Amino acid sequence: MEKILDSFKRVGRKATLSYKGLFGVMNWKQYLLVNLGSPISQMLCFTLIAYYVYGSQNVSDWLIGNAMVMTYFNAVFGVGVQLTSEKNSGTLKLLVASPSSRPGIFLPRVILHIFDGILSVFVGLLVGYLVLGFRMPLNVWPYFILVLFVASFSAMAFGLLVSCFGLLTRDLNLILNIASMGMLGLTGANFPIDRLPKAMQFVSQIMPLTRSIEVLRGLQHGEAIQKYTYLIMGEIGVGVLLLSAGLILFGLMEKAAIKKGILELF
Amino acid sequence: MQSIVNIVNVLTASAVQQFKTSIARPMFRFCVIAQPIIFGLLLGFMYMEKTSEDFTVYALLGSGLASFWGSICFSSASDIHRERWYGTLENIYAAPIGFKWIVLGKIIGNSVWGFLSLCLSFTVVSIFFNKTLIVAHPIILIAGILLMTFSLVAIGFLFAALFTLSRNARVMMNFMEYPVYILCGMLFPLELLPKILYPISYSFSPTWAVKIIRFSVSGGELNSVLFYFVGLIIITVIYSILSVVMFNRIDVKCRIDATLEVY
Repeated sequence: MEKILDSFKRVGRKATLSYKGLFGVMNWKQYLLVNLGSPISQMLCFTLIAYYVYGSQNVSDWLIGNAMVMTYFNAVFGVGVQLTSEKNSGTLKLLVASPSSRPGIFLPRVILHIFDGILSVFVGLLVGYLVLGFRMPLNVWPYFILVLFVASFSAMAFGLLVSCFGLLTRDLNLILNIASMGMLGLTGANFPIDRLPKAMQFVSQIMPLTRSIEVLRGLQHGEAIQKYTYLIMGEIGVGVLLLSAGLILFGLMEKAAIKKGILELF
Repeated sequence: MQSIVNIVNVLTASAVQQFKTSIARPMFRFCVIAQPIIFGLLLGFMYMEKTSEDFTVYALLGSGLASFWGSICFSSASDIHRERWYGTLENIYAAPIGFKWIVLGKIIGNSVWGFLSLCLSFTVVSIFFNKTLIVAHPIILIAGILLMTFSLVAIGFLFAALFTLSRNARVMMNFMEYPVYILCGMLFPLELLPKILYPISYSFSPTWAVKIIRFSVSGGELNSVLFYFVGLIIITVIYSILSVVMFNRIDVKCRIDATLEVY
């Protein structure tokens, strides 16, 4: 029992230490601007475009879509920026050389970013309520929270997968930003997926969040959760697949980076 | 006369150097190459079933304008921060020709890239969606975009002045992108916003530029566009005066506080 408690404490310590390492240098205003200001203004901007393009009737659908994208925003930048900052500080080689397992080192660091993302979604919906009159039936909220956690998990897994490329390239910010913008277009957050070319529709189906957004829109329209069980399971499955792919890719890229001697390239 | 020639030489050298070196940075490449394309396509998919006027103003031109703004935010503002990080800020600050001319040259170099990103976004979106540019007043569109370019150079200059002393440059430049898209009506009509925000909106020059672009696409009485041109010119002049005043103040403050290199 004590061993289990110890490992939980260790995970908590790793999570808080890395989070503090990333944001400790900021004052509370900077912290709020980075963690809430940027993603929420992005959400508001695209929701207002959708409000103009599709009309005011379905604005909640687009608000939900863009709010969900925020989970990815925090997860991907949180994970990716850590890898870059370890590289910049010259400490990535120490982490790579340590005998601990890679999941043991990097996964705990994601935990607080997931909660960050979830907090952003709630604040985003509050902004939506104040600015656009967003409402969600009370009985939907528990399911909403469930789907939000599932979506955050799959977004985090995708973030980890994308961040792996940071081991081989010094252009990680470029990759993270492209992936982040891709989420705005490929998950159905801003326009119906059937507008995409066929090949891109397939990509959209294997992206995280696509299913979560569809589920939440259905729930918002009064559909029963049972109708979407397969989509929720699908999202969990995509998350597990992405996480496994991310961990395998991390190992492969780590070996390649060591072999090429570019682990510290920045 | 000789000093003017010197200033022109410095502006040119600084702009050319900046034009070559800024594109070597991955984030800048994202801002001027990847973002205009992705942003343009995203807006194209959103606006594809709206009128051709809306598509032209917001998907074709708005996306380019947004990318232009992004390049100003992520480059001109952060260049000062970058020089500080490299430890070269004090060198260019102490250059005999004057710190502000070197900075202005950098902003001109970045703005050329910003203008190219506008062209890139426009070209990709028009080819991908097979849309042609339908403009009622092409001359007004060209004049509006040129004036907007000058105005964005002036904003970049003002930002650079503000961020010379601020340690929040990196945070602010990340935050300023989307609020300006919203407040200036770059991606949807300004009329969607509450009127209480209009004074803030009209204090940003892109708002006036968007009005000119919208007029040039949809047409109308020429008298009404004159108002927007005058507004854009006045606000650009105000930015320029404020920048010069700020740079003069910075010159004094930097010597008193001695915090130029603190980051």
